[in-house]
Amino acid sequence: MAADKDKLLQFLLRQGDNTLILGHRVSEWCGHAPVLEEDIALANTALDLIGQTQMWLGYAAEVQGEGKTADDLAFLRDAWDFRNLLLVEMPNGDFGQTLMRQFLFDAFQSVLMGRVLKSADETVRGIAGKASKEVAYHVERSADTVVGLGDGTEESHNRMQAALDYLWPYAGEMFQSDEIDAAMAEAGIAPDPASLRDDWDALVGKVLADATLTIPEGTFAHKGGRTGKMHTEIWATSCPPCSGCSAPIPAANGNTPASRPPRRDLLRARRGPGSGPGRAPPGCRPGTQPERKPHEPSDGKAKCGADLVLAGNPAGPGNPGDHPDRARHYPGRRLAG
Amino acid sequence: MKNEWPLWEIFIRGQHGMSHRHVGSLHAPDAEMAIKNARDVYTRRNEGVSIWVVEANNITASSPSDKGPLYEPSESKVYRHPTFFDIPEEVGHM
Repeated sequence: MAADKDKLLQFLLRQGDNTLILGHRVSEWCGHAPVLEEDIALANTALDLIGQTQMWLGYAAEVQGEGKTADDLAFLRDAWDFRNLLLVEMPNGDFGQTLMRQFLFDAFQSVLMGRVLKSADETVRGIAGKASKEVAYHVERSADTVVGLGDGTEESHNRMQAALDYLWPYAGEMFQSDEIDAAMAEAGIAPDPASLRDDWDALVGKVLADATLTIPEGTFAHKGGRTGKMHTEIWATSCPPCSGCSAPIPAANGNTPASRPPRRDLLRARRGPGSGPGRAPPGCRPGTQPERKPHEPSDGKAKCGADLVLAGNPAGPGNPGDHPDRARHYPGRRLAG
Repeated sequence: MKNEWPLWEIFIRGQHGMSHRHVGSLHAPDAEMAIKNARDVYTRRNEGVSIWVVEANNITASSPSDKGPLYEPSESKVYRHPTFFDIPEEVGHM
């Protein structure tokens, strides 16, 4: 493999940012889902996605070679530096919209991971090996739910159709190739996304037919997320773990902290207060994506997204109860399963 | 139309060679989803290798009010416990 280092980095950021942003979005449901079982299932999914993020961004940091970590990449980049698909940053909407978004993405991931299992890059192959099992379950579950709701009551059907109509224009971006994808394909690291479309169409077409839903006509596709050209307004204002919406906050003693705020480990960050769905945390600037400008020094800035990420995968490997705060967050032997 | 999902009783086999044990119950629209929900609710910390789900209304239970006729007679029959036999050494562990 002799893929350009920068292109490999971009590829890894795209993967990691997709799972980071979607994991964050899904985690917003924690404690809010319509039934307990779905609440736990969504939290599991969110944690799986954050776990995958850790692998993708961890490798990205390694490839970047600037001594950064997955956490640095997750929390200390600006909004416009993210390379996620627009689809995954779309708002949760109702439960049906969340599951429709999940299904469209899961279907894509399941096709992609199946191919990436044969990647020429050993680390990428390893990540796909672990992620593909999670993805296989995610797509089974989200597909079942889409069918259950689509082919359910009149109300659930109408909501699912509305969700599909709303999200469909964001699906096309998954299959848009550029020179980074071409380089990955040439090096045998990952397939050209355009080549995944037929498999995705077959899978999605079947599930949506079972769900008695109608695929919208038209081939218009929003784009720009994965190339970093644009992100949606809703994303910029509802503040994923970006630092682009950083705002100065006084330190506890009233002084501006002299050094960088303590690192928010992916595995350790806590949910901040008032982090309900769709609510912008304090410090987030409203408005559209800010104009590109030189990076401001991070000193004295609140990384307002960090507290929002439902971080860590308590069930994940390599994460034994090693953190003193665990006792506080997971008081008993088991927390509702 | 019924709006409530039925209740399912969940049984998990913790390890190969062990029997399934009742771990709790949950709601789900059908058996398939009950298994998925059980996977998410009861095996997220690596607790199981196999899941059984049974719709709760398919379980026939004994009635607590029958406990006299059902269980009391055995209380006075200590000879049913095989503790009166001397097991020869060479038999080993039984």
